[in-house]
Amino acid sequence: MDFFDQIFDATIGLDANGEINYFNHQAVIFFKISPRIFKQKKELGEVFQTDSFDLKEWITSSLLHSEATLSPEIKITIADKSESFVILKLIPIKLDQETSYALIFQDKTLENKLHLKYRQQVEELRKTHEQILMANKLATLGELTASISHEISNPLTIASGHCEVLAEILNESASEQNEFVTSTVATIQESLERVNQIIKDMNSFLHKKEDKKEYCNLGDVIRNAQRWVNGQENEHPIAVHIKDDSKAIVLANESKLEQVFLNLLKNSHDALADSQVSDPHVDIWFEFKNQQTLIHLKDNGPGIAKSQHENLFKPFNTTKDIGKGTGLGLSISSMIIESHHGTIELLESQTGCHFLITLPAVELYSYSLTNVLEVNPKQKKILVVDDEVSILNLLTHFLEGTGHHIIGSSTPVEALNLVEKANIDMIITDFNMPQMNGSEFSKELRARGFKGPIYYLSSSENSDKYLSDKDQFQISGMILKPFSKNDILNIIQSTVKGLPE
Amino acid sequence: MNNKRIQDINVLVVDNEKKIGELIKFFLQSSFRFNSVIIAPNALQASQKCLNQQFDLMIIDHIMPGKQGLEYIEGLRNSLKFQKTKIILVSGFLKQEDVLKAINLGVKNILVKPFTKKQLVEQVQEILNIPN
Repeated sequence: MDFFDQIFDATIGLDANGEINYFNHQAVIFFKISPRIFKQKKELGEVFQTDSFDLKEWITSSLLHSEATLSPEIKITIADKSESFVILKLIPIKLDQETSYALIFQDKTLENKLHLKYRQQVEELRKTHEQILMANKLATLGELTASISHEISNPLTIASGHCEVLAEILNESASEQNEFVTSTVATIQESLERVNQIIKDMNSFLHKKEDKKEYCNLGDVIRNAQRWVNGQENEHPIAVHIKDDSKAIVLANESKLEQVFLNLLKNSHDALADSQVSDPHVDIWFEFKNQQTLIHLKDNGPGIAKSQHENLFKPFNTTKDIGKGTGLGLSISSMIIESHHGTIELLESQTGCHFLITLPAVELYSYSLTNVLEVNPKQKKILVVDDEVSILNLLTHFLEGTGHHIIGSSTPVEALNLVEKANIDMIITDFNMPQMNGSEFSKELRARGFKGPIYYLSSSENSDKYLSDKDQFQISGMILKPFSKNDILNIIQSTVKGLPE
Repeated sequence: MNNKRIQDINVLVVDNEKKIGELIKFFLQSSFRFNSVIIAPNALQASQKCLNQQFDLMIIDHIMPGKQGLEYIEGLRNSLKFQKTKIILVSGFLKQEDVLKAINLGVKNILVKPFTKKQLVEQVQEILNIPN
């Protein structure tokens, strides 16, 4: 029966009783049993085990028919406890008047693994697809509730307004009979208030802030991104010149913003490395105007061909060599900037690329995030002027859950602009600031008609300044650095109590 | 408005919902002695009314058929005559972008529907600098 050795699959020869009488070389390898030991095995059960499939039954019935039969795919466990998936082929062979059987093991383990993996991936894909559908539905639902809530708010306003009118009329002519009517009107009013609350809850549920925004210094964000770019490929580090970033503070999701600059710097880096300009560098500078922070980013590389401009921010569009770029960098960047209510554009591409990113100024943006629409007179808006992002973030963190809002500002000039445009209840300001100090700032605030309390936030060296300004500009107090959470909360709580609702 | 007497103040209410307009008018007239409170149902008629008269305060609904409140305010701010006009924006729901836009247009008073008489009166007092 040595022709079994020609078969590439593991094969075991069986006699009419189902006992082993031959095994080929491949079987030795497959079952990991040495030929010397294999020879001693008589029963198939000594060679491998299977749980889910009645092997004996299958073999006996197959032997009776003396026809070639194929088993379903079964799992077997061999001597060293490892598992494989096989299909068994039982083929009767007539030799010297006697019938023997060849039991061929077709190893399907690899296919099985691939199949499982494939199924897993299909399952994952299906789930992702479902999630996308769900997200789409939620987005639509969000828009729908927005318009519904506006539609409902109109009749609600009319109804509750007229309830008030009724209540007033009843108040003027108080009598016993009116008392019942008054309580009825009050019940109507309460129910209307409940309807209103339901809509508000629905809105806030659908418009959850998915990402946390904090105050960050643009210079630090860009330097971090630069470190990533230069760390990756040390062969051609690029010089990044950041001009005057002292005031460049924005309210943003720091890691996402970093990704934007990483993409832009990476593009500049690739372009500069290929072009072999003598002095490869990227210039970055900032402008502040019209309540916006403008970020300019300009390299001295070869620029971008005019024909590419149109598709620049579209996905899967790349000018890089195949395998180098995905064509997603700029489209993701523009999405991130848009989610920050900003814009990104290519200003010029003749002498290097010149990108302009516009983000809303930190004062205005943080103000708009403070739920301007939540008419709750108990919630106060506190403007904090400090060019230290850590202070702004710390105070925001301290006030979380108190219902009051911190509006961050990096420069007194911008802060003054905001105070003119927005309703601010209280101001906490740093004393030593580059453009104007605390005294000048307070003087200007009072001159522009700000009547709320002002606090200085400084170290004790400025306490004499506070004492002299105290009466002149009605400074309410001084918060000494370093301060604790309780210090801040106490001051704010006691000040807020004194404010009109 | 410090130097203007309350009796001389003219108010324009722009709201497509007739009853809300009337409600605002009623609330205002029962709280202040303004010279006049005039209602316009849409931006077009509001503009026509503005031709004949100078208004000291405009109360504008955000969502209206035709032209949206913010668009209308943007148009107003572009003309010299209305650059300093005091405006209260009335809305049931505003998106983040809209809030940003409103502040940029110099509208710091936003009244959320449904509003109470007290809220309306407070906003008006604040914007016109009227003591209690």
